[in-house]
Amino acid sequence: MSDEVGVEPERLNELASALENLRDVLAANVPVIVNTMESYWNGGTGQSVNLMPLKQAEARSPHDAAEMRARSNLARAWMDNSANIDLVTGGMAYITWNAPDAQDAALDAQELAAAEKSGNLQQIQAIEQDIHDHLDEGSAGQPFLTAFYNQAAPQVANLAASLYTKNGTLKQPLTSADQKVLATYTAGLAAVTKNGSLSAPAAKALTDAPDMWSMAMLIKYGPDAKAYGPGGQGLLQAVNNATVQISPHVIVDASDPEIPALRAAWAWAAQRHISLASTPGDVVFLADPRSLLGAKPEDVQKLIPEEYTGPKALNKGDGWTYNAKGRAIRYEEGNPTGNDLGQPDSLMHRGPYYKISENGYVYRIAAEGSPALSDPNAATISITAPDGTKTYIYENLPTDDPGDGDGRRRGPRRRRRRRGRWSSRWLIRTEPEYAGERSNRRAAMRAAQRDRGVILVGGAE
Amino acid sequence: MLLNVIEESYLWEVLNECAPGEDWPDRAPYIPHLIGIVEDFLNMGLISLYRHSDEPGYPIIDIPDTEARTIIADPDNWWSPGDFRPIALAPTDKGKALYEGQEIDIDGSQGQ
Repeated sequence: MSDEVGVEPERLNELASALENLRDVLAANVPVIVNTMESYWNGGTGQSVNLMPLKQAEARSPHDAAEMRARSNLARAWMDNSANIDLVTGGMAYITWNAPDAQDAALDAQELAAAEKSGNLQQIQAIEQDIHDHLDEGSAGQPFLTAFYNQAAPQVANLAASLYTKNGTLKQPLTSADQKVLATYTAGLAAVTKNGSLSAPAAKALTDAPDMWSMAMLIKYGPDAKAYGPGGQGLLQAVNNATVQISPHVIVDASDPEIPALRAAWAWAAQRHISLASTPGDVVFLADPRSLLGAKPEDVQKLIPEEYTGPKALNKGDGWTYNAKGRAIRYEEGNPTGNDLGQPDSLMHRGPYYKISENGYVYRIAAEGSPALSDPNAATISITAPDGTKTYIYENLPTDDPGDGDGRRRGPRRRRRRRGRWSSRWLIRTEPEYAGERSNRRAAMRAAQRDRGVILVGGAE
Repeated sequence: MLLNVIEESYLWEVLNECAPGEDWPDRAPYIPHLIGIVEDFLNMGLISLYRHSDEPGYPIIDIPDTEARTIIADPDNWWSPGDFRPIALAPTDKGKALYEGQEIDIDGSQGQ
């Protein structure tokens, strides 16, 4: 067979798909057939037949499928290459038939770079499938994997950052689909380091990546350290040395001067404030309860983490509740005819407000339409701490709608000092014992704006 | 406590707000005290109990007063480390009237 042959890309694609289907069918059924038959024979039922050809076919099928897919990829790329436009005749593409892995790997590396640049998740997943297929080949897949990672190392290092840009938010940096993609790419990388075939330039591209958060995330969702083999331990160590994990998704450069402050910020946020974390250790918090002041209920609903169930209607009153175990977020319409018990937040209870319960804290925050928002003598936020103490915040909102352009303020805007002095910006007490809290809060803000993986509900500085 | 009733809080929310403690085990010793208060509210006809259906969209399930006493008296309905079904408080007309500052007859119907 000559090295370069003309092929029809569509038919080659069909052939590759057929071989992939055969591979999947054999993988799903051969072990069952072999085990079942052997159990019969071992039990004295029937006469044994040679199942070795079946096992061999199963073992060979991943390689055949991967190789044909590589040829199909090359044919598609050939057709897509405008340089070949004058050569296209009869729908034929010209590719190297034998040992297509190296060319396919080079093609995948180019396409990964383009996919990251354009945010083409489908292409990133197509390459992921190629990696997966070649991993299934075992040692036969090594030439492809080695060629791919030695060429695509910079793009692999940047993969998590690209996925974050495409899908991620502060609330959910990497989706479960993103994590699956990373896991496959990392498994391929581990196979190459275990094989000892990762080139020095590729290793350097990984250990000296411009965005070490991305590299750390790649490793995070990959296999255990032993999967990298002795040849990969240096890579793992380099990533580990270069980064410090503050929380599950907040990973910063090891030389970051703010590491102590960031650690203190997370410790503070997790223990001292509302934390609505979906993953243990994640920090999700209302950086400033004021961020919900006067908010519309439909906007607040969008902020409620997925693990909360709801909305559930109230039985007698108007409003809704979402709850997770030991945590609840409520919207209460309030009772305009409620008795004035002379408490600072009595007026707030006569109109709509939010009630957030968690971990010994209860926050009540005036919602849109609350009469307390325009009364300088009424608390608009009350906070009950685990020790039972109550703190009231008096913060009014201007009732002028900036959008109407009239510049008129329809209600007073005054702050009232009570039980300490409040910072005009944060409404945090500024006595010495609260100074550290303020510092932590500011550090958390900075991290939220700089790093991925912090859920910040309003209140950004 | 009355505000929690008006808000239709779950029993665990009452425990969360009305009992001191950094964590749930710290609050648990106060459950018997809270049970006594809620039973008094029930005896005075100020509250009823309900729970949400397990199926989304299904109506709320009112709990008869006879069953409510048993539920209130069981600390596991206030808080349990494992799964437990939250029980909510709700004000009766009399409870709502009390919250609104009206005079009520705790042994009979609402007064003026």
